[in-house]
Amino acid sequence: MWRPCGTFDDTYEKDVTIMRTAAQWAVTIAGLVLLGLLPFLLGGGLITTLNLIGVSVVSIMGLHILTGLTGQISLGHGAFMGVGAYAMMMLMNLTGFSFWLAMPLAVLTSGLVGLFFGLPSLRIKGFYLAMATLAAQFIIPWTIINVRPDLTGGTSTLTVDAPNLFGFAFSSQQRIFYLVMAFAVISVILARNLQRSKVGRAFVAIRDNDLAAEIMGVEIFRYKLLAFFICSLYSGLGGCLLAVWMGAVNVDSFLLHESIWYLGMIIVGGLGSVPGAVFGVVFIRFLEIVSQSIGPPIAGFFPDAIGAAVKSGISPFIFGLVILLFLAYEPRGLAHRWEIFKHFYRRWPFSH
Amino acid sequence: MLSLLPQFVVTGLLIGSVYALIAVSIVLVFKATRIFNFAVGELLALGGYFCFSFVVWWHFPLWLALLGALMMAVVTGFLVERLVLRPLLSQSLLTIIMATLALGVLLRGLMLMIWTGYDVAFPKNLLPGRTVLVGDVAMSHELLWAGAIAVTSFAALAFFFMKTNTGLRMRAVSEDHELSMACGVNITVVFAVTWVLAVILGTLAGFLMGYRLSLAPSYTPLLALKAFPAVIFGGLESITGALVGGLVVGLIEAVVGGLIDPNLGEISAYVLLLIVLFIRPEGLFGLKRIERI
Amino acid sequence: MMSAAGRSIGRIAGYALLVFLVLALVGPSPSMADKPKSLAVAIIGDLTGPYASVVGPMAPGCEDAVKYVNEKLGGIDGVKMELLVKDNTGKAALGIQQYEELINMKPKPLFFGVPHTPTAEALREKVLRDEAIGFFPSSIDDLYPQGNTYGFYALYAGMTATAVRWVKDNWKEERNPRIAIITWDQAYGRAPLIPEFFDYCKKIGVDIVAQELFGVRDVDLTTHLTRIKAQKPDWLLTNCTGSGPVAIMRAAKELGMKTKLLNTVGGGWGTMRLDPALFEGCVSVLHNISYDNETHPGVKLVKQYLKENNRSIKEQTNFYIIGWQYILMIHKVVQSAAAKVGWDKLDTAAIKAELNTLTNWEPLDGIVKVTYTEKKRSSPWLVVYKIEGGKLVPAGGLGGEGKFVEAPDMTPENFR
Repeated sequence: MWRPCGTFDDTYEKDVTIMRTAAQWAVTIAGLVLLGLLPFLLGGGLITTLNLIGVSVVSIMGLHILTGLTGQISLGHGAFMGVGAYAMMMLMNLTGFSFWLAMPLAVLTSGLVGLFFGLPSLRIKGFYLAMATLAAQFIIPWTIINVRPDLTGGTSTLTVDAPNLFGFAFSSQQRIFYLVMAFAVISVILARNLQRSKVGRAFVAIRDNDLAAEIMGVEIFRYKLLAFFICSLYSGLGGCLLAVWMGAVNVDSFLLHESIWYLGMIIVGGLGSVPGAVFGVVFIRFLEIVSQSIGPPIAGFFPDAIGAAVKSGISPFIFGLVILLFLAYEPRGLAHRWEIFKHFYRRWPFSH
Repeated sequence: MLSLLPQFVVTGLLIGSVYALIAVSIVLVFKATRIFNFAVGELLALGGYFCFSFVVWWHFPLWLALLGALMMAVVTGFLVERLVLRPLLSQSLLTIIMATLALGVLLRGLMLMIWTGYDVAFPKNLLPGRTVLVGDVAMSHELLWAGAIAVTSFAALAFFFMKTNTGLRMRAVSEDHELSMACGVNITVVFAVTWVLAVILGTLAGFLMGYRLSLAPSYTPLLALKAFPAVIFGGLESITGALVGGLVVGLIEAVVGGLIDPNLGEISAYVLLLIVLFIRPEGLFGLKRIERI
Repeated sequence: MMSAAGRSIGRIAGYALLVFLVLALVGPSPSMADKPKSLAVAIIGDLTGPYASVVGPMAPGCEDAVKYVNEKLGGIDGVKMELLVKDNTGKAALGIQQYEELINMKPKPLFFGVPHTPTAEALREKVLRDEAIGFFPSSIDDLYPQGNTYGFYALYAGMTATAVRWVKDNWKEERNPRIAIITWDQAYGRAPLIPEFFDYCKKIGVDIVAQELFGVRDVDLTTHLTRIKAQKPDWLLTNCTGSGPVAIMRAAKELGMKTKLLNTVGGGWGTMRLDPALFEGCVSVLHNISYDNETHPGVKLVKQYLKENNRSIKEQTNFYIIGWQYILMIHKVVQSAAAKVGWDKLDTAAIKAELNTLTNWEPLDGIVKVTYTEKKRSSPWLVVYKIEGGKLVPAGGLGGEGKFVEAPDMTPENFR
C-alpha cells in the first residue's frame, strides 16, 4: 500500500486504520461538509441526479462485494432491489409500519431472497451462475406482477410516503439528499471495512482461485452464500431508497436492463475497488443524463433534413460511444486511473 | 385443453427454431472467444433493418434483399470485431462483455438515427404460401419458413465446421487459444469469421421476427432475451445444445402456456433452467471442465 | 513546467468554482412583472422507446402548435410559449430526473405533458406538490384521486367500454356477445382491466370469455389465440399498440379465426399502417376525427399544418393531434384565466378552474372535443372507427356514425 513519506505505523492500531494522516482526516471532513452543503449550492435537477447516484452507490456496494470481491457475476441485482422496494412499500402501506421499521425488515427480506437464489452457486460457476441469477431477474418481477396484484399493485405504480424522522419529513429532493447520502456514506464505510476483514479476504481468495481457497480452509459454499446475502442486503436497501427517491414503486424500475447496467457500473469503475465502484456509478449516471441533454443541441448542428433523425438517436449513440472509447483507453476501469492520479499527486512535484 | 396439445407442440417447435438461431449465434461467439455477447439483440434488429431497407427503399426482390442483408451482416460482423473487440484483445473478459453492452446501446442509437423510433413493417406476402392445416393443427407458413431457414442454416453451419479448413481452425481455437496459435492458426481471422457467422445468424432471426411482426429499435432487440435460457439449457459451449435448448424453450413456453396459462410460459422456461442447472451445472450438452490449481 | 501549468489550471478552476458558487447562491432573482416574458410548457415522454410509434408524433405536434401560437396568434396575450421536450426513452427513473430538472428552472414550467404511463404515475403526486398541471395518459392511477392531472383522452377503461357498448348496441342475436381480452402484460396494456369495466360488461350483457396476457417481446401468439379460439369469442379486445395488435391478428388469421379486434388509441394509424390488410374490419376507438374523413374542416386544417411543417406520413397519427390539442388547450385556459384574475395572480387554482369548466370545447375546427369537470379528469368524447381498405372509416351502426359519442363513466366508485 502506498502512503505519504514519513507515515510510519508504530502501533497495530495505526496499521489498521483507514485514516492515516491529518491530511486525510481534513480532506474527509471537508468532503463531508461540502456534501452536506450541496443541497444549498446546487439546483434541484442536479440534486435529483445526485440522489439517484447515492441510491445506486448503496446498491452497488452489494454488487462490489459479490462480483468485485467474490467473483460471482449476478444479473439479478435489479430484481433484488425490487424485493426490498416492494417489501418496504407493502409493509408501509398495508401494515402501517413507519419507514424506520419497514426498511430494515425489507432489507432482511431481500437478503433472504438473495440467499435463496444464491443456492445454485454451490454447484454452478462463472457465466452459468450469471444465468441462474438471470432466472431470478425474471422470476421476481413476474411474482410481483402476477401472484398478488392486490397487494403489490401488479404493473401499476403505488406511492410510498416520505420517511419521517422526529417530525422532519424527507419529502423534497433536497431533504432526501441527506437521507440517501447518510446511507451511502455508511454503506461505503461498511463495505470498505468488510473488504479488510477476514471475511473480505476469504471472498478475494474465492475470487482468485476457489479450489486453492478451499484447500486453504475457506468454506467456499458458506462464504459464497454470505456474499449473496450481503449483496442482497445492500441491494434491498438500495431498493428501499429508490422507492423513497421516486416516492413510488413500479416494477419497471427493477428489470433486467437495470441489473445489466449495475454490472456495467462496477466494470467501468474497476472491479474489486470501492472507490472504483463509486466512480463507476457517478460516471454512468452522469453520462446517462448528460447524453440525454446534450444530444438535441448537437443534433441542432446538422442540416434540417437529417436533424430530426439525428436528434432521436444521438443520445444513446453518444452514451455507447463514450463507454466504448473509455474501455478502449482505460480497460482497467476508473479505479486504475484513480490510483495513477494518487501516485502522481503524492510524488508531486518530483514525478517522473 | 388437452386436445389442443398437438397445436401447442408444433407452434413451440417452430418458434423454438427462431430462438435456436439466436442461441447458436450467442454460443458461436462464446465458444471461440469466451465472450457473452450482450449486443446480440441489437445486431439482429440491425440485420432485420438492413433487409427491410433493401425491400422497401430499393425494391429488391426478397431473395436479393436477404442476400444483401447477409452481405451487410458480413460487413457488420467484420467491423464489430475490428473496431470494438480487437482493441480489447487480452483484456479481462468482463471488460469485453461490457464493451458488447455499450455496442448494443450505440447500435440502438444508430438505428434510431437511420430508421427512427417508429415501428416499420415489411410489405406482406413476400414469403409465398399460406397456413398449412394438418388435421386440427394450423402451421403458419411464416413459421414454417422460419423453421426451414433455421434448419438450413444449421446444416450449413455443421458442414462448415466439419468439412472446411476454417471450420477446423475454429474448432481448434474453441478448444485452446494458445495451443492453436502455436499450431499456426491465425486467431484474429478466426475471431473475425466467428463474429461474421454470429451476425449472419442474428440477421436471419431479425428478418424472421421483423417480417412476422414489425421492427423497432426498442423492442426487436428484446427477442434476444428469449434465447438466454436456451443457451444455458444446452450449455454455453455446445452448438447442438443451443439448438436443442432453443427448441426446448419454445416447446415449454407453448405447452405450459397453452395448457395452464400463457403468462406462465416464459417464466416456466426459467424455472426449468434453474432445475437443470442444479442437476447439471454445465448445461445439458456443456463440457465438464476438469479444474486444477 | 508541469507544475506551473498545473498551478495556473488550478487557479482558473478555483476562480471558476468561486464564480459558480456566487451565481448559485445569488441566483436569478424571480422578477414579478405583471406579465411573464414566456410561458414554459414541458413534455417528458417516451419518444424513442417502446411506445415511440404512437407517442413519438406528439413532440412534433407540440412544436408545430407552439410555432403557430407564437407566430400566428402572437402568443398568449403577447406572452410567448416556450416548449421543453425531454425524451425519457421509456424509463421512469430518467423521467423523474428530467422532471426535477425542469421544475427547478426559473420560471418553472406550468404544464407537463407526460405520455408514458409508469412515469406519469410516479409524477402524479409531485405535480400536485409543485403546483404544476399534468396532462397524462388516462390510466386510473394517473388521474385519481383528483389532483392536478388531466387525461388527454377518455380513461382506457372508458374506451374499451365504448367499444364493447358499440358491439352490444349493434348485436342482432339472442345470446350475449362473447368478448375475449388479450392484452400486454404491463401498465398500459392492463389499464382497462378494472372492476368498473367488468361490472359494466355484466350490466349491459356482454360476456368476457377469456383474458390472456402477453409480453412485449412475444413473437408468436398462436398459443394464446388457440386458447381463445376454444372459447369461441365474437370479438377480441385489446389495449396495446405497435407490434402487439399485429401479433394478435397474425396469429388469429393463421388459426383461421374470423374474429376481429377492438382496440383503443393504440389502434390508430401508427399501428394500422404496419399491415392494413391484416386489420381489415377491426375497430379502433379514437379520441379524434379520422384523417380519412377528407371533408371534415378539422382534418383539412391539420393536414395543412402537417404540410406546412414538412411532416411525413409517419407524423400523421392521433398523437400529432394530441400535441396540438395540448398546446391549444393551454393557450385557451391560460388566456381566459389571465383575463379573469390577471397575469400577476395567475396560479394553478385559476387555471384548474378554467379547465374544470371546459365543456364541449372543439379546437382545430372540431377534430377533437374536450370536456373536463371537477370530478371527471378525462374528456369522455370518442369516435368509433373501423379499418376498411387501409382507412379508418366510421364503424357504422348505432354509435358508430363517425360522430363524437360519450364514453360510459368508468371513474372508480370512491372518486365519483
